[in-house]
Amino acid sequence: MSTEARTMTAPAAAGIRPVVIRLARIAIGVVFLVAAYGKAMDPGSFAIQIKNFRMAPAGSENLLAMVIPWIELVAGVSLVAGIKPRAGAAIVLAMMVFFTFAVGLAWGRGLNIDCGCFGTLGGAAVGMKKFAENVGLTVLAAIAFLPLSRSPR
Amino acid sequence: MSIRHRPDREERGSVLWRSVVVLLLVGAGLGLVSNAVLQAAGNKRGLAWVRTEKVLPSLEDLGTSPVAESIATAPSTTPEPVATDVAPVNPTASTPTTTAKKPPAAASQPKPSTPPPASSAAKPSGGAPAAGTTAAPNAEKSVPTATKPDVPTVPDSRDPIQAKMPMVKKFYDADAALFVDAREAVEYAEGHIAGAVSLPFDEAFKDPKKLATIDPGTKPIIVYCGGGDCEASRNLAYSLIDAGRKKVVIFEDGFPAWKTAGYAVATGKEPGGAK
Repeated sequence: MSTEARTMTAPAAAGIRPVVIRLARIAIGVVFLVAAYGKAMDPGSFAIQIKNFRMAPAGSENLLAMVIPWIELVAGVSLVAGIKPRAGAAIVLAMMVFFTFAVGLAWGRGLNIDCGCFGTLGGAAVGMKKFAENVGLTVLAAIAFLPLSRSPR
Repeated sequence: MSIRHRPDREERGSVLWRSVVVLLLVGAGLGLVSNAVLQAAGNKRGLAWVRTEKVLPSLEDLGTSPVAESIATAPSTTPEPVATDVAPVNPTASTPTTTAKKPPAAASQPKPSTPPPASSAAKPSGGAPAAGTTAAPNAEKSVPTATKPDVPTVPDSRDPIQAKMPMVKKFYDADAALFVDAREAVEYAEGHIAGAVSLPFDEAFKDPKKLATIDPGTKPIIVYCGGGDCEASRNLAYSLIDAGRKKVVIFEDGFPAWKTAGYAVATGKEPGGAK
């Protein structure tokens, strides 16, 4: 990997200061921890919510409901505790992109469903508000994914 | 890669992706293990590894199956309305729904010993809002027997039967079923299938006596909700079966599809009968 290539992804290039990135990591990490807790506590309900999105292959809903909250949990811990935070941020970003897509699709299809985003901790119905919220969180996740360190020289 | 020699730097490139995979595996592993533990502990939060939705029989398939055929032809070989109307009620064999095209008084015979008109009028007692309205859809429209569309017989079943839009529309046009809206009263008031009575699942769950107000006689009950895999229709369908109804059909697509198709819709608290 060339030095030039790293420079492109450095925060300086994006004009975002490291402290902002650190805060973004903790913020999105906490969001994911809360979401993970709500879902992990009631995987059965989460499985139904996954099914309601009508995106997952039939039969896979339970497996997804078991695994997704724990991946969120691990990613959240990674971000909040600063253990491999960029890897955690990458997972969170990928999940947020997918969740936003799923909510957008459900909204577009006119599905009158609960998003299941925070499990049983009181979710919101899929709609414009939820979609906007997800877009915001996706941006936060993208900031969290930026590398802290400036490009090596 | 030079990254390994710079412990102060955050991981990038292939090292980053390796960490991503590790985190994913840890998360997935924890999820699977926790579920295995919950399962082993007999905790109801433990899920089956593969979700198996109980597949409900579909009315479309049943229409061609020999089982439905035999039930349909059991009381009389020719499903001629006049003949079935006066046919003696057989407690074991189900009366064909061809009779359901007639006014409810003549068609409703829940029990052999009870006179038909009395039973259909007395059963939905209690003054619940739905009581007076169950007969309304039928009374609104008297379908001439000559023009009755071909409606398959709904067999008695311990599970609700699913039906799709074209089939449901046939029943609607033939006035061959009682439509029940399982959604919340507010949603019902905003718009429902014209002629459908309201019984939100939540209310039926809290007060099972309300289930008795849904008495279509020999007609099948078609339950629907907001589509989109809403659970209310399914739940209400099972509740109705538990309450003794034998012909319960779930209209899978629900009200949104009905409205989109441009079929008759009514608003307000009353069923409305305009078709």
